[in-house]
Amino acid sequence: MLTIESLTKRYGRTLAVDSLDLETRPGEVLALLGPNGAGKTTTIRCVTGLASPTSGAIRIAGHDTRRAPLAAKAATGFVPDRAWFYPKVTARELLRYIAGVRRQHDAERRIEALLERFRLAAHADALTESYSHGMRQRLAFCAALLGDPQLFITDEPMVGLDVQGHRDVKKLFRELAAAGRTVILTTHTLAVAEEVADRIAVIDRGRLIALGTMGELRALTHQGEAATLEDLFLHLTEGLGEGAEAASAREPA
Amino acid sequence: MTLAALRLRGALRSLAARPAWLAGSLLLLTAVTYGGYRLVRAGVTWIYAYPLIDTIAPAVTQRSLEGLFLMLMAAVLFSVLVASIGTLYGSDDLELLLAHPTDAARVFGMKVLELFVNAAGLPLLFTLPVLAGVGVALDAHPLYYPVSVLAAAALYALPVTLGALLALVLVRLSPAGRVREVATAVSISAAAAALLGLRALRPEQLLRVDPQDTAAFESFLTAFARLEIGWLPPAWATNASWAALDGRLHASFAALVGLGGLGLLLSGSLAHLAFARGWVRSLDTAPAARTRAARPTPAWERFLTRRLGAVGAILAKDARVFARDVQQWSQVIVLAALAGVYFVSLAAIPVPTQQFRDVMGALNIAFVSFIVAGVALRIAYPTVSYEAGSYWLAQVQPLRKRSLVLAKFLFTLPLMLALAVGLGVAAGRVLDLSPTLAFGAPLAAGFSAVGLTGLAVGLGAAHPRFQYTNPNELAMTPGALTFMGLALLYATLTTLLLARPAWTALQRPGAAAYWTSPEGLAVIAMLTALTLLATVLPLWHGTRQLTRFEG
Ligand SMILES: Nc1ncnc2c1ncn2[C@@H]1O[C@H](COP(=O)(O)OP(=O)(O)OP(=O)(O)O)[C@@H](O)[C@H]1O
Ligand SMILES: [Mg+2]
Repeated sequence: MLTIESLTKRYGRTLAVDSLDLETRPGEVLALLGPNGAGKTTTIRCVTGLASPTSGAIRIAGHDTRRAPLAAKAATGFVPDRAWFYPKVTARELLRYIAGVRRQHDAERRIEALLERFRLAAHADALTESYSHGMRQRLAFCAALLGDPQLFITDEPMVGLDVQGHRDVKKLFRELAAAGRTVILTTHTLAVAEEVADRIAVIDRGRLIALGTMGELRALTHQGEAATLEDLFLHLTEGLGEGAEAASAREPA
Repeated sequence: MTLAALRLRGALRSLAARPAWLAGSLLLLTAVTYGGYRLVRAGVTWIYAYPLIDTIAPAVTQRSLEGLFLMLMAAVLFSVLVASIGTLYGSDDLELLLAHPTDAARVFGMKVLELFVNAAGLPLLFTLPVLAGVGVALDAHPLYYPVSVLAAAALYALPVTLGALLALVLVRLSPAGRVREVATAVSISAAAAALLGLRALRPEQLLRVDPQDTAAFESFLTAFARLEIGWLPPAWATNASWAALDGRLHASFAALVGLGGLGLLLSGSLAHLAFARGWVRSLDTAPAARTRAARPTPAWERFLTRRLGAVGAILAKDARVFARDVQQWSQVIVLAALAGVYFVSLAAIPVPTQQFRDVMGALNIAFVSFIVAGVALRIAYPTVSYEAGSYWLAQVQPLRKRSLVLAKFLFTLPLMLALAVGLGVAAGRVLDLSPTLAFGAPLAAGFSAVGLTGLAVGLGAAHPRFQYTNPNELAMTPGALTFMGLALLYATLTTLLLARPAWTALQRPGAAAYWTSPEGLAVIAMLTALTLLATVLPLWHGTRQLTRFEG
């Protein structure tokens, strides 16, 4: 579904992503974990076309993002960590606009269903400038799902969502996976990752340092059945020795 | 001032990222500044050398300087109101700065400085070559230069203060979430009032005199010299500069600098107070959900998306945003006022003979191009940047950047065409031009509208700025300066092309059917080629740059 081959992204002298390889399968939920500044957002920005890779290749549903960006984008739905929309447009108008841009001429029913599903129906005709952060986030989910994407990517999807929103989103991920879609999410809430993800990828300083199911990660780190994802994560990111950020973050102030 | 240093370093770094454009814009700016300086110097020298009027030459120069000060003060006032709300109360960095253990007085000091640079920086820059020209032409005492510059700076600090105080009142009184709207409305009224005030001075009186007719010209100059505005601050600045010409310090200098400094201090402390009291909360966007009735997709929107695909969808969205965002549609009102004033002035000019009328008509073609360029800077140049914080949405959709840029071009074009062709046709009517020019004026204006819209949208796409606190900022970026330079070039070239038919019309006023003659067709062909170049090349360049852009 999504294939990333030795992706590298530099910002001047900073190496944000360092020859990263990753392959996902249809019908799986993959959690992308890593300390702050590890390169998760940068990887996602490269995949969604918000940034262009310094080198390496990305394919989405078989379409190379460099050679066939439109086809790759058409197969992708994206929810950023801080969604912002045209302030003077209503949610319904925004979704119609996206449908128009994507040339989905009969999206009306789908739009209503999405607004209903994400509890925005009552606010669908209010300008988005009046929305709370969580409402904007829910609108971003509607926008991303409008084109029924094969690859669904979210960056910190839970930030700003209420309790019901958390549950809705977790349920959504499982539903999408059951329908054969691929879901990729980043999060710092390890419980969420543990709950919804089929596989977990850990990134540190731009490199992929571990990838697998909970069981595979336990085996990799020689931990017992009782080990939580938090144990595994800290073990992995610290195991690299000079992991400055991860280590210093745990030092008592 | 470590905060200011930090700001400055950030600005320099972003400029240094595009060295070629920076060099080009700087070169252009230097050329314009130097040109202004030479012009003023020559003008002042000429006035002083003009026979018989040497006694009133200083008065004429002083009045001209006062007029300039007055005009630029009005310009500062116009831009400061909206800018002050954004800078003093609404900036994203304010909360961060104030959350830190930095001295709040310093934060607001920097904010006021930023506001001053934002609103008065460009007018001050325009003033410098004029002051230098006057100084060099009159062989000024060295003291003149610092004193006159400081006096001008202090003068422009007055409208900055006024704007900041007005902003304070607005922040306090406006219905919550509507501060920006009200501020925009007030600025528009101020601008309209300033334009009307300018009209009241009846500048076309200048044209009623023939420089060859010495007696009339002298009586005009004498009348002009007596037109003192005495007690107003622009006169203080002029008096201070004038005294400094021979190395004296005038009392008005102290008054002006004192008042200007005090004003800025007051603005800073009041802004601090206002912020501390929590009035800033009312700046948040409308709290109440303004619900619009749910309606099925309107027919016009469906038509656009079905016929034009993605471009149509963007057009529909932009039309909505334009109609609902005061900051966008209000620009049109300024334009309408501008066009109105232009026509009233044009109609007021006495035009005795057909030939004189046709000369005016030919000049008018150049003027209309300049007006259209100015309008394009306000309306067409920012369109891509208007995507602002929502640009990510366009980036992740399966949408060609070409469609986006094309949609922006198509959205602005009708407005620009209506304005330009309207100005061309109206000029033909008002001036009662001969047929060749009566057709040539709207033709040239229409071409200008297309070419300048393409140039503006293209350069705006090549230099997008998605983070701004108010759209006025966009008109002062390096990209905008480049646009102005190229637009002037384009306007000059069209005017030169049109000089030929204008000349023919003057030579043979009765001759009809110029535009169907081989020569007329050749002129149209060249105009078309030039306009295509000015449209397609920038749009293509803008699309390419936008494709490479990473937010
Ligand atoms: N636009 C940019 N310009 C320069 N450096 C950048 C830019 N974006 C990211 N970086 C750098 O790239 C590295 C990776 O950043 P990224 O945002 O991908 O981390 P992240 O894993 O998403 O972190 P977090 O968990 O904090 O969201 C960081 O060192 C960051 O400083
Ligand atoms: Mg991130």
